[in-house]
Amino acid sequence: MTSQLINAVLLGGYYAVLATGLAFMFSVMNIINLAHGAFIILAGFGLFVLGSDLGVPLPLAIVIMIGVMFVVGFILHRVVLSRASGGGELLPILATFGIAIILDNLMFQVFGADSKSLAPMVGDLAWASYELPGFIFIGKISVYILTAGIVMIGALEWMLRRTTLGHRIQATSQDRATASLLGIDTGRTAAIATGIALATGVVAATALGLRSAWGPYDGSAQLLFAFEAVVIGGIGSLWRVLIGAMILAFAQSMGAMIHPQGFLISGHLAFLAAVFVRLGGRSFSLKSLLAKGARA
Amino acid sequence: MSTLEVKDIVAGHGQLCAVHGVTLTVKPGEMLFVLGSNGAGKTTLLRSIAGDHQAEGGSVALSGVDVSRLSAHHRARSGLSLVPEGRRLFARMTVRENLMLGASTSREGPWTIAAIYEAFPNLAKLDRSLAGKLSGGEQQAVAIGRALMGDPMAIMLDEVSLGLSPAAVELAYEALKKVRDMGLALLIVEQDLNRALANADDLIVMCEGHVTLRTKPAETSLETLAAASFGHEEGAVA
Repeated sequence: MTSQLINAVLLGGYYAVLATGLAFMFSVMNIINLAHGAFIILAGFGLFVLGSDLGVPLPLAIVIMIGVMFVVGFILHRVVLSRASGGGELLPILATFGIAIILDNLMFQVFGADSKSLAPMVGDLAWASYELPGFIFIGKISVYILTAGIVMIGALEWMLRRTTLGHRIQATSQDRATASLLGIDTGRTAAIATGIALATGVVAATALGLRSAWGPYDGSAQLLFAFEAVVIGGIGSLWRVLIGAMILAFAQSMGAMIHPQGFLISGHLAFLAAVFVRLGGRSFSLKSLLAKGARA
Repeated sequence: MSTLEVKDIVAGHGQLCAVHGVTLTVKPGEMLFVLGSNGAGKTTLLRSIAGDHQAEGGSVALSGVDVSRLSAHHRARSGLSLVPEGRRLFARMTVRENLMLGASTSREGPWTIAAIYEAFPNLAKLDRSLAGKLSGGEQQAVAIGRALMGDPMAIMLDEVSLGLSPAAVELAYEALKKVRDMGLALLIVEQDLNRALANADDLIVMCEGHVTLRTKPAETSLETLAAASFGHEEGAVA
């Protein structure tokens, strides 16, 4: 039981890492990026090519890919999202859905259907564990992933609340017209925010690649867990994503204890419960689904 | 040379033409008031000058430089500031953070947070308060301070006294007069005709998108202004 609880916390940390970029995109730009999972997989292939094919050490590969994905996000906003977001809340969803399909199939063309993993790049660490009192073992990687999630959310919250860039991002998200009147280049600011959101996907890709393996079409599975974590947690502060991710992981772990096949089902039930509570009889909209809309 | 030179601005919303070719100039250290009833096109005029609304025709020049083709944030960086109707502060940021955002124009000038707090002494103690929690008068002071932080050459203010207590309006105008005396050009939209008569260097009255009267406070009366704002052309007193 204790072991299961600890593992649920660690799994929650992984979901938080997956979901942070998605939540950041929605809370600061009101865009649900359905290609978030596909971009995580893309970042994973980038890490794999750098690490396995070119022999770059993983930490350096992560830094390089963060830079690459930032640029990809910047261009994505400039070319696609800035136009799509002018057409209501549905258009960016459809646009990113299309991007996800294109990316999935492109990655299948380029990398084939083989599963890839980053675990061989870290040697012993892939199976190293900490021993806790009571003969409980927990994987070191899982602990690192949870830590990375907390650090990443803390860093983004700090950036949004304490830095000039963060204030400009908030201003752009809350009232774009007024932000422009103050001399803020809102298009550039939103593109930078998108770049940051995609850069967080590199951390998610690292977590995915070290925990297990992935194939070119695995983006949607990552997206599903990330989306559920975001909806359960709600919008307002990125810390809520961590809470949502924990609730999702706990629900799944409890379900697995009740029945061997209860893992996914109970996660989805927790998600549906959150949806019903959020909507609470109101008509459907993305704002009411994620509650409270604009961030603090 | 005039700081702000606006020629033949035409602007509308879809099929509706809200501003039919308005021309005006504001010199350094001058306070020009634009008056008129609701729907006269005053707000659309200001937003078109600031670049927040796409004008269909006309030109805007700042100290002789044409900015008509620039987007809103480039016009702000060129030294043109708009304090919008309703102040539009970022409610969940502090007073200081709101003021700092005003410095996004990256212009050189005398304005710092300390200078703003000197001009509006009541803001100093609200430094860390959330802008959304302030009274209307305090919010207006922050909005004017935020505009000043961008070190503009010209400031446009929409509906300065709307929703404020008379004392708060008095404070706002005290500050605006100091700003004018520093040599900035001020273009102010106001519903309160008495307030306009007391403070203006020049007056323009609009009705249904047209200018119906151009005058100075010494040469006009409350009745003439009121008549003009209901559409009576220059000279014809109701």
